[in-house]
Amino acid sequence: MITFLTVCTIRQLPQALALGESLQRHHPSDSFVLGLCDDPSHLPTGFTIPYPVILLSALLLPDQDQLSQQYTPAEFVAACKPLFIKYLYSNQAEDTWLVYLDPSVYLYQPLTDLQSRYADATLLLTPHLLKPLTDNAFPDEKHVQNIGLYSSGCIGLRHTAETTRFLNWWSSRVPERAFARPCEGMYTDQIWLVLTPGLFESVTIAKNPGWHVGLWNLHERPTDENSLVFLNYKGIVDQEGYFQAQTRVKISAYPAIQKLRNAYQSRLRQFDPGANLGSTTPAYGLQPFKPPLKGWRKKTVETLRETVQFIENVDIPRNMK
Amino acid sequence: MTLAFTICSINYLAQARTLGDSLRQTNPDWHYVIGLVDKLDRANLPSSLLPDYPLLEVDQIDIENFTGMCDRYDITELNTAVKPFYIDYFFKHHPEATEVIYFDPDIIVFQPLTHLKQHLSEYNMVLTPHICQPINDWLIPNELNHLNTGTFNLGFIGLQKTEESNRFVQWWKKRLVNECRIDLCNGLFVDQHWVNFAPVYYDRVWIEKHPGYNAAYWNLHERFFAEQNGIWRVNDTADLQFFHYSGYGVHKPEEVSKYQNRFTFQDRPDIIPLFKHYHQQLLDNQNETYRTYSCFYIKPPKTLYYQKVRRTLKSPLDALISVLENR
Repeated sequence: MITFLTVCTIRQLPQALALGESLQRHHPSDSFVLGLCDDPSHLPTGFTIPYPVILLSALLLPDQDQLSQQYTPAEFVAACKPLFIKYLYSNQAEDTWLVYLDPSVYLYQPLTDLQSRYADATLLLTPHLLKPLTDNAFPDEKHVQNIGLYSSGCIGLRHTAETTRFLNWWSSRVPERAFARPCEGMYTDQIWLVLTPGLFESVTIAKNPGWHVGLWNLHERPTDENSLVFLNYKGIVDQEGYFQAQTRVKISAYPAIQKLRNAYQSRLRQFDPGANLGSTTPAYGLQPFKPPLKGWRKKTVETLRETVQFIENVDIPRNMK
Repeated sequence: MTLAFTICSINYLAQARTLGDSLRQTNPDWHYVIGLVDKLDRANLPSSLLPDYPLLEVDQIDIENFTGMCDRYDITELNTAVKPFYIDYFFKHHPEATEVIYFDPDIIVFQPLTHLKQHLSEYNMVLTPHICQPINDWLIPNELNHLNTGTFNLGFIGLQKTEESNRFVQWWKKRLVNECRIDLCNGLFVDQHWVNFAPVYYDRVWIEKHPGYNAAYWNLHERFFAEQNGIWRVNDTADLQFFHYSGYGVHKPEEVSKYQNRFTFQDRPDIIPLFKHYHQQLLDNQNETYRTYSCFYIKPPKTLYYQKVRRTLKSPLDALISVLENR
């Protein structure tokens, strides 16, 4: 048995419900649990979530106000995510799988490899990239290092003593250090995963190209329906995440993905007909989110920075004659 | 044949010789080469100071655009950037070398590395993580520092000569031509941070957690040492394979490493004999003489004049950047 979990704000509920729907189709005998990282009193009146829900209050965060104060909404969710996972994991039986998926994930095929190919993994990670980049688009490999090589949008955890050790470590590091601050080695809950192949046994890198396709790897992944297993619409249908500023792929160049996206968007509308959910401001994470620079603004800033750097470092002999 | 090599400038030849001596003692059938980022004829090194190991000068290994790298990089960056270029050279010019192993010069080897050779027959590469157990404090270096500078320590890398490891070397080379800098905010830390990608991009990369490998200040929290019947043991479970004396200096013998603030010899009496041994070896190998040679590739420090003019020119640009960034 697999237990799937997502963690979302009310604004992301339509996505989470679409994920639930795709899981019911492809994993009908497995369960899906939703961690609501928001204030449940902000739910539209009469709205009920058709899945078991873990409320933020169940995590008993001792410093919730402080965390809300210091983080952006996305950082706040990232800070709490390991605790939601740990909460659910602690009720799971030995050897069963718990799979965290971003609310923006949608399944097109079941994760059959999980219990065969990856049966011995403790922790299963999906890399953003499987192959070296060969262009100069943004972000390149050094930028990916800033945010972590493994996406935290999909994490497989098989219940073992080693996985418990990982969760205890991760959930003790992340809540206080979920800032998006690359200069300080921090990037949400995600960058920490880079250390796990060294720190824990049987951490497995899932190199299945049909798994976890997204804005960051469309250029190297199959998009046909036979190969695509799950897609993360983060940054494709919303303004979430680091990769919304990417310049590598244009969805319009991938007709198969475009078609899927249109179908996905219509599912989102069906789950939120009055757009009441999608317009709910997250209750926690009070710092304003500064969206990454894009387009001409980004190019201009880069050129200006280069000029500043030139002025700072150009060698001018003292006595020019 | 196994080829082991290190890279250093003349001022570090005492270390490189000490490493070579330890290899000669423990792995006598290995071929050991010192990659020299320096110019012997310019240094005019007396023959008494020439090590008993082959020296391979960096301008002899056909690095395309080497001049460009010299211009771009400071001495630390240059010394680390040429690593994959040496590996590539050995792959190409030493067909008899079925394994190529890099060690930082400040390492010494304590045992026949049969365990390593075994893994190199099964895997394309062997890498050692800085830490195999969490660090539960925020002294230096802590987990955030490792996140910024790389999971694996590139004072060591072992490669079996295969197509896959060659692909890795070609990719690594390409990155280090232009981006072997230290720029943490942009994900760069010399040659080392890049190698985080190795197990993702390439198959059969062995992550070695044997506590006897690459023991150093960054993993002392998880490793304790004791000599038993002339053999150094780690955590009572394994034989010490090689110790990395990173950041240790003969002239600061009271400091475990200049790059850390977690441990003192007072807290860790178990490591004192390991360092005393190394200290003596460096002196015996003429550290005091070598260290006076300055490297040919060191650039004279640049003095930036006209700071006031620079500031005046910069300030409107900085203001404009700030407007654009904050809308």
